[in-house]
Amino acid sequence: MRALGTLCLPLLAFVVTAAAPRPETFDDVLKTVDKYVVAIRVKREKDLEGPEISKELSSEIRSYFTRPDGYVTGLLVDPQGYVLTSSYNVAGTITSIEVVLADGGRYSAKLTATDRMDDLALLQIDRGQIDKAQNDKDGPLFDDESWRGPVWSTDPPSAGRIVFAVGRSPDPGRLTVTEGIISAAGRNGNRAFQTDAKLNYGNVGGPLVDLEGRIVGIGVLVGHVYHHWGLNSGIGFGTTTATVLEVLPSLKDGKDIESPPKPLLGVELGDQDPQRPGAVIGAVVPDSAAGRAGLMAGDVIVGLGEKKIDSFRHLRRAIFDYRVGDSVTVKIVRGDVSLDFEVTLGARPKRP
Amino acid sequence: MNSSRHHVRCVLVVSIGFGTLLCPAVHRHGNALGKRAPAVASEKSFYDRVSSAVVAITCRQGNVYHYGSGVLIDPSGLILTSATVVPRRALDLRIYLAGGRQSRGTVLFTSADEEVALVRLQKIDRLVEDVTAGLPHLKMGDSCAVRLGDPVFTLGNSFRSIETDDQVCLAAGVVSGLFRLDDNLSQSKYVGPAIETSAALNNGVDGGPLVNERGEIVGLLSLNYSRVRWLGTAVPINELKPLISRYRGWFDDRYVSMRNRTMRRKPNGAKPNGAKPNGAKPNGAKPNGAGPRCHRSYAGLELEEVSGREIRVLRLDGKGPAFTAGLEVGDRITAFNSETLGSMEHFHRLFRHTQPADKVRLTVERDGNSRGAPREIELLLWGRY
Repeated sequence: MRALGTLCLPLLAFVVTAAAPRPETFDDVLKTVDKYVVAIRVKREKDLEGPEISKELSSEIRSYFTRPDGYVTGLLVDPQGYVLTSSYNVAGTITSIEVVLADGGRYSAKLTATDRMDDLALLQIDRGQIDKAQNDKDGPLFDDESWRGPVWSTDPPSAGRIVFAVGRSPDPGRLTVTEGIISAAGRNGNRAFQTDAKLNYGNVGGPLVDLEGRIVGIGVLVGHVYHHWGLNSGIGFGTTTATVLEVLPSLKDGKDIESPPKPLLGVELGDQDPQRPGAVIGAVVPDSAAGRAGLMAGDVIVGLGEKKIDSFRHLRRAIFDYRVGDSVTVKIVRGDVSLDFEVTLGARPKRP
Repeated sequence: MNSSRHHVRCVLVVSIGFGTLLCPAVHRHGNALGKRAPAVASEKSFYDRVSSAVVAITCRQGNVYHYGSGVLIDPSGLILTSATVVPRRALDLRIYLAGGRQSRGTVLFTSADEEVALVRLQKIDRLVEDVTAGLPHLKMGDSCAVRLGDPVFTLGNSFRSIETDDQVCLAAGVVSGLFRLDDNLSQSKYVGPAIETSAALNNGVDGGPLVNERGEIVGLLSLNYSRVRWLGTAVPINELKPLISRYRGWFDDRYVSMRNRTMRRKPNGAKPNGAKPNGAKPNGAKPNGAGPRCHRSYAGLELEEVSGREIRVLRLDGKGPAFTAGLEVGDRITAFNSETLGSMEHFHRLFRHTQPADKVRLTVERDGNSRGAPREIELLLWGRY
């Protein structure tokens, strides 16, 4: 046992020392983003309608479900004064937006565009005010030549990676940081990841950075309209860097991005036979893709396009690989006969 | 403490211990948790060392029962805890120490405004085999040296873990924010600078210590929080040090003299034989009835900060020292004992270091007829509980 111990110790020491050099404390992580994390103060006439909360709960618990007054966080992404944040942060009927930079400079800003699919919004600091912005060792902040910008991490997020959520609230003069890991990589159709770094009203909209201070995503989907998992619950979401960089050009053009309509086949769940692979159709929605193609109740779907279908849940997921208007071959078994149908997928009706 | 907020946190917010994160912290900060040994062994020794000084406290205030945590800060059995655990007029104080030992305690003082209370263990000689070595205790660190992102730990009696199972709950996290709390939430009366942590803070941990990697106390875990953040906060220990040392000095004096059976009643005024007045006063105690029980000084004025730098008198106590000295509502206070004031926090910092019966000089500017001429107003501070 002792021999094993002496063998292991140098090995352990080697593993520890051979690991990539990491910052000495977590506050080094912050230095790389410090300048670009900004506080935002939004004044609004009316906020979004929250969920109904029982009057019997104490006012303290009720306050958990409503947005408090105060600063929220954003990320300066561009020398033109573009600030990225969560669309929740600028939701409601807004009267004014004020951006507070790291040096304490206050600028009015306006909303350029929102991306509701990824819970992102882009603001722009008023051009006329930019000139008086801070100078530091890199030169003026809002200058194309001296602009360094936040460092984006190009690696796709992988579960288990350490991330930090950086914010600038409640005190706009100081950063805040909560730590965690990426809990799941492919969320929201691979456009976001899940993290246990604590996200709350104050730091949502701010960056999620890795140990090298590179930005892996923007903290999103926290607030009273998404209250069902709660603040700091260990379930937070970050829109990935890849998604952010993909939507950023169209946001800069002032184009709002809405979720694309989801494809609809038009079949309802029937009594499933656990012994038999496939999705049993309970009913067919008339005048839907399935109805027009001639699918019937009792048919068993065993394939969609190239994919084999084992269960109804499997089918539901497979449909989302397609877009509205796509033609796809549905393989079914009707009684003992195997049949192929060509269907053109329709659009899911919008929720009222 | 039964706090509805912590109830929310526990039900809606799953506090997750993150071994994954602790590990890198341990690797990179090997010195903190023992330099020679690999991570697992040193973690245990760190826990053993720190947790042995953490105690559970229960008490009764009327027919309301309180429970919480505390931490031993010296070998003679002095315990630092929160005023939310040991409120004023607390009875039936019971302390649960490591190893399942129990003891009664005496409240030395409790201050809701600073959210701090000091408790002394009774009959220590029954609790320790070696009285000279005393009880395990934690040192107070420097909370001004705490930086954002530093690994920190919370320890305490989460959901009565010490009382029922003799287990001190440890949670790891980082310093997630350093800001000022302006609101009183969930029974806390503390307003002022705070250290916020992402480490779990559950029911019963209030009064426990926030410790750094060296095992030093850097904060007193509080029930207060920011509604923007909904994370656990601690009162920085440096905010409490003047108070603790003042009390510790006074009570140590009394304690020692009681032990030596030499305690004599000492007059506050001049002695008849012409000895120096107040020559024999105990440490930190003041004459004129302003003994250690009223440790906070009182000026009887409420201030507001206007546009970030001007400090203006908002309200005055009609009988208080400020009013009788001639301050008026709307006056701007520009200097405190000739030190020019930069902010409200600056004023608070200076005021915190005053004691009852101190004289302070305020430089005041007043609009109106005598515009422009700053005047000096001297007030004699009162003491208050």
